[in-house]
Amino acid sequence: MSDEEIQQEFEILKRSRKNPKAFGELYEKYFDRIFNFIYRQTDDEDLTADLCSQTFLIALNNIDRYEFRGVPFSAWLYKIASNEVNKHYRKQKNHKVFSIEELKVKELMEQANEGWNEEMLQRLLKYLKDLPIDMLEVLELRFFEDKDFKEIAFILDITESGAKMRTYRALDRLRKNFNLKIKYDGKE
Amino acid sequence: MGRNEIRIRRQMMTSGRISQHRNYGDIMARHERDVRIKRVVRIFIYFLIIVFMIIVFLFVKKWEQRKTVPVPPNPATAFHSPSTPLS
Repeated sequence: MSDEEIQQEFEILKRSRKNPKAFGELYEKYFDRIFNFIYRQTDDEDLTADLCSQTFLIALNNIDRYEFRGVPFSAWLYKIASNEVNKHYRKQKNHKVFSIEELKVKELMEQANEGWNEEMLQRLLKYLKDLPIDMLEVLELRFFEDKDFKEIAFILDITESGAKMRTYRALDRLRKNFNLKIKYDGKE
Repeated sequence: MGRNEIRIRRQMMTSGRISQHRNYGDIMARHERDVRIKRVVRIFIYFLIIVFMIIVFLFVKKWEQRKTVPVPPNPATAFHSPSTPLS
């Protein structure tokens, strides 16, 4: 995201403080991304719709408190969404669900020596199942949402080096287990 | 047992399906309701603070009044003091 775009968003936010209707522009822009982000962690369409609405409502109610901290406004929305999802799981006392698009997984991985097949997918599922939640969260933001480490750190309330370390460890395990080439930065 | 539940989705959520859940009007309505509730709570808190200050003020005033009321002299000490001879 360019500095100009960040500045434009900041102008919309300033207008939203006086007129909440102006926030609609940001709502339209980010609704799909936040929806997908939540849906990946719930796998329940109606629940996702509720949590997504709640996320935007919290953002709108607290717009006066928003401060620019070197990351795009969307990172703030992701942070609120992540907190809402965690709050939901704490209340329900359930295991966290990660619903991953098969297409995205295939895109993510470059095939090396092994071919991509159903057996490999099942092994990957087992691997992801045993991965700690904090590592899964980082992987999701890095490879499914295309966030940089600074944003990930802001969203998950950890340090940038912590985000890098978690990603590196998770990928290292993947490389060892699957003999796969996974791009560390996910963008090459 | 695993720590998380991992599911693989064969199909991605389409933009059209997601847009069915968009409802900014509802968000605005809930926001306005929240703003109203916040305003009422704020007014109530100000009211409580003012009531508390009035109570403190009245208490202090009463305490000061009690302090400034002259204490009548003890008749026993007035008539039997050995240091002040009767004229």
